[in-house]
Amino acid sequence: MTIKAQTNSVVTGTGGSGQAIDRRSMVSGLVLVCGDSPVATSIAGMTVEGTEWRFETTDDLCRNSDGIDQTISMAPTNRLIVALCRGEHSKSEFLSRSRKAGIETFGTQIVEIPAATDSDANKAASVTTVRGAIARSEAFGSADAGNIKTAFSGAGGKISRRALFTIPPIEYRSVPTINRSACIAGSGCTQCEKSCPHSAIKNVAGTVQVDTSACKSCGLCVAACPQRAVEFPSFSPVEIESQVEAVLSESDGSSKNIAFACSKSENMPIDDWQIVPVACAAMVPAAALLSTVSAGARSVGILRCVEECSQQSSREISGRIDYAKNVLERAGVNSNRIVNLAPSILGTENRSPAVSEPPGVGSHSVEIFGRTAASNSVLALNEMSPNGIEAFTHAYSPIGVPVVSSTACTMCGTCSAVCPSGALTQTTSENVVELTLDAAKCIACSECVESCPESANGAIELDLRTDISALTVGPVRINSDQAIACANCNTQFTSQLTLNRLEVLLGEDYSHDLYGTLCPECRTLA
Amino acid sequence: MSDNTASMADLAALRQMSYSLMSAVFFGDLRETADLISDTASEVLAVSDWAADMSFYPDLAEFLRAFGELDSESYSEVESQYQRLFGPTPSSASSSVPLNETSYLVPGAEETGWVLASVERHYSSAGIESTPASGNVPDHIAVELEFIAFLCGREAEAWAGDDFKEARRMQDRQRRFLDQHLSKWIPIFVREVTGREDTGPFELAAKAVQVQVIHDLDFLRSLQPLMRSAV
Repeated sequence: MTIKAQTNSVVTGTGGSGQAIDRRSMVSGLVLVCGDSPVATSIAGMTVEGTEWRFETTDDLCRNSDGIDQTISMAPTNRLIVALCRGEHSKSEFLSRSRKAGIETFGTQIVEIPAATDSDANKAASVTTVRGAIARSEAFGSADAGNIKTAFSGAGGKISRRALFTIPPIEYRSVPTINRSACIAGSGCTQCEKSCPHSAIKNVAGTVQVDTSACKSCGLCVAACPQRAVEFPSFSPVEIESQVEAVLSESDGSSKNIAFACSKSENMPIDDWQIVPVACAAMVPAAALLSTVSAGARSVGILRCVEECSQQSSREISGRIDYAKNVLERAGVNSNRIVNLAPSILGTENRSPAVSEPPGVGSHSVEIFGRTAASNSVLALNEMSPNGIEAFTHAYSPIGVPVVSSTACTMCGTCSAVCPSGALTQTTSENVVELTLDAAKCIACSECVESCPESANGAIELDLRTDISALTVGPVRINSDQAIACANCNTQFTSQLTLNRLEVLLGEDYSHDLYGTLCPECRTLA
Repeated sequence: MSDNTASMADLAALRQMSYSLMSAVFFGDLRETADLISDTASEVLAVSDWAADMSFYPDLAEFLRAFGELDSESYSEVESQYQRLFGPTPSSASSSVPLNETSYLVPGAEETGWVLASVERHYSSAGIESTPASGNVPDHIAVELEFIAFLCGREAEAWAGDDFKEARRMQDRQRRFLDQHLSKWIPIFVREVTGREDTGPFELAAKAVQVQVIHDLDFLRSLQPLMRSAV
């Protein structure tokens, strides 16, 4: 085995936001390239600005991982990218060896590079692939012990007692933890709990608890969280977004086709696509497709795994793709730029579609996750569209417009209290209580409808409408009423509509002196 | 596929050593346990590369190196750090970090007695008693870690003696104790330690305990269905 080493780094040390640079400056990365690939020399000749990366080429690396620990230990290394020829390696073998060499559990990425052809286009694409992986590595913070779950490979079938005297082969999977300072479960948000298909997440008295033994590491909670409060090393929002941005920013002269691929779809030969691994294809929101197109991708695809995608997940994925295509069509962009990549059809069928549009314009800034990702990506496409996007409704719309009936709504404030994205807010001032909607923040979660005590009377409904005028108008008052102040402490504690409704519900038992004069605190003291 | 060629007996023995060392460190009599720490640290660090594939290993190795490299002079400083962090403090000084489980319950909680009784039940059902004469309460971190070390040792012996059922029983005991006790309070304890200044090697020790406890609970939970269905 021969090793050719090259260190290419330019340490700038300043610039950018403080926090991002702090983390990047701690990265000492190694890109290990299989020397058998015809693109190895191009990758080894890369330069990386701002952080310390070295590049080493090793012959026959795909078939022989012996000695990579020595290569890693030649210099301090805490991030590893292994670039291997397609389909000729065992991923878990490399992961295991890198752990043994001291790289932290999720500190290694494996990327695939061509094994046969050495065209200029392939060389450029491979450099872009590694550039994307480096950006992803730099965005990776670290994994806490609570983010690491042990899984035993091939543990599906029966195993003999004798076999268990030896430790079964281990794989480590990322499991989510919650950033408590960002989480808003205390105000009633249950988005992560609702999204979990395995009932592994519970909101217990305002605190989200993750049952890691039930968690299947699908990452759907990451996509559902409007606050980006779910920490999921390897597949975190910032890692995925950084990789996409880096790929789109690389000016290699090629058209960029981005495939969000299920991490279980190992060694799938899909030509022409830059692979962005995700924990499960179902964690890719519609905003990922729209934001990536608007940031300049020629086409965007979702690649599911063959076996594990449930029927429900497949339906969700197809629904989101259909929604995103609808947006593109209305924006006057070829909707073939969004592709549902079939896992069972490999090779030429999965080539990127022939589309005539030039890449989109923009700063390559990509926002895939969080409460404003969908609305911002639609607005970006609207900017690019000659005539603007016409309003439409869609069952899988990630944005919506809550519609409040001024006759049925009692202004009780429940909808605004539970709204996880801050789209609905209720404020009281100068004897007036106001309910305000900022549709640009709505994530179409239906929490408002589900929590409304008057929903049976049609007090609030969610219109799954994508409407540029609603997204751009800003906060709008959608209902208002007279506020009632406490006779004792003067706090404005309810609305006249709420008292009216209470009177109807309680009938003869209603007492204005009891319910309409004192706030709950003063009532208790009295 | 990761090719772990180590036996379950090796892993249980490694975990036993790890917990014993952590227990010794938090027991506080560092000078007396210095040789044990030094000898065992080198033994653990010398194990073959299967151990380095375990996710808890980097934290364990860092903790062991920190304590393994201490000489007689630096032990005095570490002992002072121990006293500042965990020892009784004058009323004017900031309070020390408690080393026992019941201190991490809500103040005045009625569960204190229940927790102590539960810990004692775990000990007695495994055939051992905590000794009040040693000065350590049953829910002290050193006692709880030593108990897990004891169970790991029994598990290692069972594997070595080809006793699958006993090994499984010992794993079940560990899993229950980790689940009901150590995993509940160690993360809070670690937050307390890391929030202090001048923690010396004790911050590494506390983090190593947390990583080991979380790893082992997860590992034993994942292994449980395989152990149950093994034919």
